[in-house]
Amino acid sequence: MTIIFEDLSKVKLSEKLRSFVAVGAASLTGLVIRKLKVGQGGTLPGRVLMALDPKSLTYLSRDVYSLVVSGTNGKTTTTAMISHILSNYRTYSNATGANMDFAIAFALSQRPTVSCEFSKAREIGVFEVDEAYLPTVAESIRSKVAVVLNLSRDQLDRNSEVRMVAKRWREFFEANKDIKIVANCDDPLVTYAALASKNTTYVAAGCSWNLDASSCPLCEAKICFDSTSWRCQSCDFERPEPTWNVSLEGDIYHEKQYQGRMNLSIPGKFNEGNALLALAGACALLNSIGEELDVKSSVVALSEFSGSGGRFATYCLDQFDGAMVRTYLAKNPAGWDALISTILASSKKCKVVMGLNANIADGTDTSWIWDVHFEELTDRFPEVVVVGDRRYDLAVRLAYADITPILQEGTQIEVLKGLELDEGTEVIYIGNYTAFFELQKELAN
Amino acid sequence: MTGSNLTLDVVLIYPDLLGTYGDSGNALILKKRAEFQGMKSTIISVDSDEKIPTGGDIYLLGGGEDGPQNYARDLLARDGGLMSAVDQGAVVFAVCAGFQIIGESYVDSKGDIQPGLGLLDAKTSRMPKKRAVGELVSKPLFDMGQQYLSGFENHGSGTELYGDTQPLGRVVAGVGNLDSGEYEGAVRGKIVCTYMHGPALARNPSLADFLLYSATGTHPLLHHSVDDLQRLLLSERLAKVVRS
Ligand SMILES: [Zn+2]
Repeated sequence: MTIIFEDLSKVKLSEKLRSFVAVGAASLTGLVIRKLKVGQGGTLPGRVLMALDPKSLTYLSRDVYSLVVSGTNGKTTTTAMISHILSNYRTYSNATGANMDFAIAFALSQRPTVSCEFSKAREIGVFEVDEAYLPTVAESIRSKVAVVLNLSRDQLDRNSEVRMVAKRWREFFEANKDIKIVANCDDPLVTYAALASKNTTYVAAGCSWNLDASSCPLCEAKICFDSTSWRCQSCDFERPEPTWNVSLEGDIYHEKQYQGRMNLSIPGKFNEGNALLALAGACALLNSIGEELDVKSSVVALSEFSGSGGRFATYCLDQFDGAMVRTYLAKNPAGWDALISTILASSKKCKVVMGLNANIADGTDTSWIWDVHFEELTDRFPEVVVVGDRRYDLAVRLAYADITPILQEGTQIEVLKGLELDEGTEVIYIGNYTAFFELQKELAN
Repeated sequence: MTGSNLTLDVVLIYPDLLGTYGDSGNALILKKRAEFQGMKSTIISVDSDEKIPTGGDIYLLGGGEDGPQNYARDLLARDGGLMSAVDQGAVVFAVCAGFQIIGESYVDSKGDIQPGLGLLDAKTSRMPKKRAVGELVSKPLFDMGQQYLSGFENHGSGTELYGDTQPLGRVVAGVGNLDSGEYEGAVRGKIVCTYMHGPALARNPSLADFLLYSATGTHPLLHHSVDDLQRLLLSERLAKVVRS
């Protein structure tokens, strides 16, 4: 395998060789992992690549016009939506949801080795990036656009205080004024970061979780929220005017021009916000390379988007009556609250199953479940089936919300298949990170 | 508690500043357990722009990020409501950052020594080793019908007790107040502090009842199905920590 750069002269032979060896080793590792079926093959190969060639991100992203997506919730879905909108271009993406620097390096190392001499097609990178890695990754790949979704509490045991993340973003945006920011103006912490740049497009993507932004990041005074806006009680920090919005009925507007009707096939009000950010992000990226996005046909294209990595997917449980299970992933209180609203918005008869683990990838501190508003479910779902390693934590939490927890042991798929269901009942499964992917694996087998 | 008709007012202080670790869960658990005992109970949630009522029965202070910690201390000192309530015999349950700010002094994110509210003989300073993160198990030093207390700790500073402030428990697993010490939490009169979140009262129903008893003088009478679940949770957690 060879990598051919546009201006070979500037790359030392030793460095080029190094990159070549690193990419080869990483690809081989990925191949082995997929052959042995021990993973999705994005993490370890990426680590191999970065270890052998720490500067690989910068090399590999040459001539690729990149956009990064970051935030606590909705990264994978929004990234996949943007790739979907830009499917006419040659795009690279870390679609498996691995979102540290090494995973992005690995995604880029999979670029075909075509010389730019005869290929004039634009190459586009659409990458989701972990919140903490946003500055380093965006800088290394010279990202044109950063789409920032939301910031809320997540993985408390890792001590990633959300305000620190917002501050780091702010400093980065201030120092890198060329990057176009596409920011959710309904989230005060995201806005706080984005305001550091004059080069920001504001999108009214909604934000139902504001417990982490209840005090002003500039002056600590209280931030007051009403149904459509927010402002600091004391200083002049307030919600900027968005240029992208969607009406309650789902009509999309860009700079007050009607662009079409939101008609997603995946559920959830928050996904409408993700879709709006995806449109604004794709638009900004194409503008940065002197092209224009056909927004109206992109809106139509989004109606065919069916989710990514099993999020929002439905499966048949191969019971005699063909009961369906819809699988949802939620990693933190904001995510769970959003899904609770989504379940309540549906009028279907359903049974709810919740899975909770506390592995390293989930965060080992489960206290956040007490921030989830399970009480909203009590009237409609007096019983909820609980599974996963930390089902007792969840059971106690639900009991204090006056919901009877039905504790179930065994693999999640066994529990789902063993459910006694009335005719026409759909199963709704919500799991946190490793619980969700454990189930996806079981469903795939 | 007002008069003989038993009511319990739980005051949740500044959930907008001190509520990072599911701390409102402790308020919910106290309210519900008071209701199981036939009391009427209310959670009074006091945001940072509101005045702290002085007639509450139990006051809760939770964990918070470093910036809001100093701000919460300023507001509490200026408001004075918490100190008046303590003078009137109210119970205080303070977790993590809440524990630190009600002592004599603590260290903020910049490393500066900050005065606390002085409700405890306790000084908090940076721990020399790395942050204490993980399961925390202790043996309570007070009679509370539970052999072990279990929670999850996450703090970069440690707290030294002196004077008439006693520890809540002796550490069995985890770090607790100080990485060189052997104790967890603090008790002084009706003030109870801990580094356990989880939240603390979810895994430790006896600690909840201990606080309720301090506030109302009543013992839990009724056995409730929630107890069984909480005991299951506690023993599952203890088994995990002992095994590893
Ligand atoms: Zn302000």
